[in-house]
Amino acid sequence: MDYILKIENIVKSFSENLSKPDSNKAILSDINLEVASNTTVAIIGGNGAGKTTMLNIINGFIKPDSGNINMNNNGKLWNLSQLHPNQTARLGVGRLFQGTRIYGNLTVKENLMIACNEYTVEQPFYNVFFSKKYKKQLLEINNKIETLLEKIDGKVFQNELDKKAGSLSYGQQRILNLISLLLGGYKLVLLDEPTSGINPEDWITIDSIINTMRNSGISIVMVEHNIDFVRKHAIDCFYMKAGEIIVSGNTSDVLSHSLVKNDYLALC
Amino acid sequence: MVNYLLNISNFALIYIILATSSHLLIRVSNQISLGQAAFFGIGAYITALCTQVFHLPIIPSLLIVMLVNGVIAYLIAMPTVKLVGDYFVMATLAFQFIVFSILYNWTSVTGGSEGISGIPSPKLFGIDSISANLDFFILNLVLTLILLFLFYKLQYSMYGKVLKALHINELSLLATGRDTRKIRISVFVISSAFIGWGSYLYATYMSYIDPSSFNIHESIFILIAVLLGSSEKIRGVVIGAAFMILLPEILRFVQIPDTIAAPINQIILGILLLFIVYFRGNSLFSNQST
Repeated sequence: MDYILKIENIVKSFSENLSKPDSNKAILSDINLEVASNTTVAIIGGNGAGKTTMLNIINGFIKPDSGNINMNNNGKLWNLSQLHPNQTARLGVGRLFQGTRIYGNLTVKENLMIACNEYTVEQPFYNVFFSKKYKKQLLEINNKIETLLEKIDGKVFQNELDKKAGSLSYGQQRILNLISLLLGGYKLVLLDEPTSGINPEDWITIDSIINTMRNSGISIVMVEHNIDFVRKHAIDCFYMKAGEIIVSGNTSDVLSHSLVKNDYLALC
Repeated sequence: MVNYLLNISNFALIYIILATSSHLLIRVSNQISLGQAAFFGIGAYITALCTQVFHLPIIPSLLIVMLVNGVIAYLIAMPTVKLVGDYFVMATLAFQFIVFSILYNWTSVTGGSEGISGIPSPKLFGIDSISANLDFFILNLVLTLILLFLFYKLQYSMYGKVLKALHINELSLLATGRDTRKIRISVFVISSAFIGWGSYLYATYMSYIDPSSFNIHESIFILIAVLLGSSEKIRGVVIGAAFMILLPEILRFVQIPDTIAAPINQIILGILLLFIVYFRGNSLFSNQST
């Protein structure tokens, strides 16, 4: 089967005591993971299992000690393991962080405009020297945002586009981050706990965003604690414990596996 | 009287140029710099070189000053943009001191503490020289308006929005494919290059420059002018810079003797800086969203 992301033998350890380089503690030991294109996978596991570290390594925020991260972007193969986050993003890897990562001093609309990743219009003096092109491109960006907001259920941000993003509630800021991922032209998005801090009345919006992602051909890797949400959206599932993938496979199989049930689900 | 007013206005316009150029760096992208006077100084000495030695007219001189300032800014920015917040301030402060001591001690080139005198007035197209206060004022006003227009365009373009975003949340910009290092370098270079306009006008207007006009006090002066405005709007910088130039004149009008006026001026500036830090310190010097 065609894959979009293939992780091979990733090892990462952090030194617990800087003066003793031998005291390394393994955070990830020999991780292998494959994400088929146009699919949704979930990584589950307890705190400290290395889930977020895994996402940071795919993203390029952390460099692995060894191993390969291969990305297949329309038949072109890329090795992400030594790239910086801005390079992986340009290859089509989007990221939702834990907590909120909005630009609070800009309006909701300006946040969405930046999320469109039209890098050329962001050149200094572009609007002075190429004013016609600039206006045309801004119009396109605005249309893109409007079309997207119409598509999402729950009518989010329709009347709040000119509000400062910093004045939105925590849940709304998370939704703004999620919607931003739909505008950036990504092929693969890494979602770190997409449902945390979301009110029940906004669930319809989150579901709609995830469905829109899937319909537009974006593959999703999510780290998630909400098992219902995992069951609803994820096709494949990986159970991590202490830096290793213990159980992997079809979501319903993984969630009914005795190890996962006794170790993890019993505590949830 | 008219000459007096023109003189004040000329100084005010020059400082509006310096403050507006610094505003983009200091206020919009929140990189506090204490090295702005160093670029002001480098530009002034390059102006002297262009006009006195090579007898260049205004437009080539301006371009050369911008180019030299821009290249030096680029070389300085390369290693320092990694530094954020306080460390960036320290790096620019160091640069300020280095440039000052070079200007002060490299006597054979810069004239040392005696400076350079006899810098000719600007030559514009066929007109031989613009020497009278009024002529200079018109040139000054035109350049200031062009610069204000350019910086207004910059600040309210997508580039300006990205700079504001950088101020709050660099990590997100990085994760969406932007090389934030390059963005930081670009704003430092643009700011320093356009300070060159102020340098050119200052040097040709005064016709005499010496290192004492480009010391750390000058950098602090520019910083206060930038921070005085209550919002990020360019209007605030214009008022701030004008106020800083007018303050000593106002003190002169209330009949305070010169010997006391100068220290009082310093005291007022100090109090202003305290007020700025006290009331707006949080929004200025931290990366928290406001």
